[in-house]
Amino acid sequence: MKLTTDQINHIDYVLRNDYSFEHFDDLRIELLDHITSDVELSIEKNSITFEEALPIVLHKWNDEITCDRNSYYNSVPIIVAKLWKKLDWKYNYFVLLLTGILCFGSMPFGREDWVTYMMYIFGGIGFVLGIYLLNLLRRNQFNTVLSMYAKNKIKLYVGLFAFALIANLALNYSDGDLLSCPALFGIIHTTLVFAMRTILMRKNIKIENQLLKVI
Amino acid sequence: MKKQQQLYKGSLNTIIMKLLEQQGKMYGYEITQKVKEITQGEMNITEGALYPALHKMEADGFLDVEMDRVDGRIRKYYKLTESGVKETVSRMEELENFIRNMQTIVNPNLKLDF
Repeated sequence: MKLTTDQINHIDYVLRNDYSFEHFDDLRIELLDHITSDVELSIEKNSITFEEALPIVLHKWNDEITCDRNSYYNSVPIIVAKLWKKLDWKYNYFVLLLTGILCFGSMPFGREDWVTYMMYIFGGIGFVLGIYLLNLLRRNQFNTVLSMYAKNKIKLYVGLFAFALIANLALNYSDGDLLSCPALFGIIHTTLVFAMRTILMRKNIKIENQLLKVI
Repeated sequence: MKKQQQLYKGSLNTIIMKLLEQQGKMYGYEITQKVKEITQGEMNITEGALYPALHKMEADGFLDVEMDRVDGRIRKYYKLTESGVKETVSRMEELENFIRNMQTIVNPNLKLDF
């Protein structure tokens, strides 16, 4: 038995409001189809009503769609948190490691002013990437698992980048030389974060285009 | 049964890819039902394992997605990309080797032809 539009809308409402899927359009759409198909089969097989079948199906999903209050990502459904934790390896831990290698690896090989030049080159790239990324986020039409990950703490990173760049420029200006670069780590790290999140948002455009075709 | 599920777990991606190779395109629920049907209920792909696997393979570029409106809702279909097809062939070879080796250990007198 196929569910009516009202019944499908009810499942959508439950996913949005009872299970924190409001901001994950792509995943919610996918789960909505799966749960709806499962409810339809359950009604047919067990000769029960929609009201009886839905809690049974949702119970099966409970371990995936509730929030894990003990997790680092404790305000999103477990299924989202699992994916974000996987993304963390590539987009956070790897970026941190690369920042460390670039910062500490470059120091013994060049003069101090070369390191500062390199930092400002990174700063320039970071500035362009940051604006491009913010523009991609602004134009984003659907909230997806990827776009929400890219948005996570973005204001903090933008603030850190601006503060580090301005503070270092002011220091170099007052010293009258390019020998100090205390913001090296901050600028390189935020630039790499912008670069990785830009890649994510480019991937997200493909998902958005698919959603635009059907919504 | 539970121990058997653990054995299947390591081959989940290969199973999904093989199904997609045979069927062309499939949606999540269809994959779970198809596996149940083929294995006559012996293997049960849980939702918690299926979607992370599908999303990971999509992120790795092995799967492409297509969306369509069906019965008043949107359905997301998965299909293999070119690199996904190559990956399926290589994973199937690995799986066949594994089965052959296991068979040799468990029952040395029985020969399997793939």
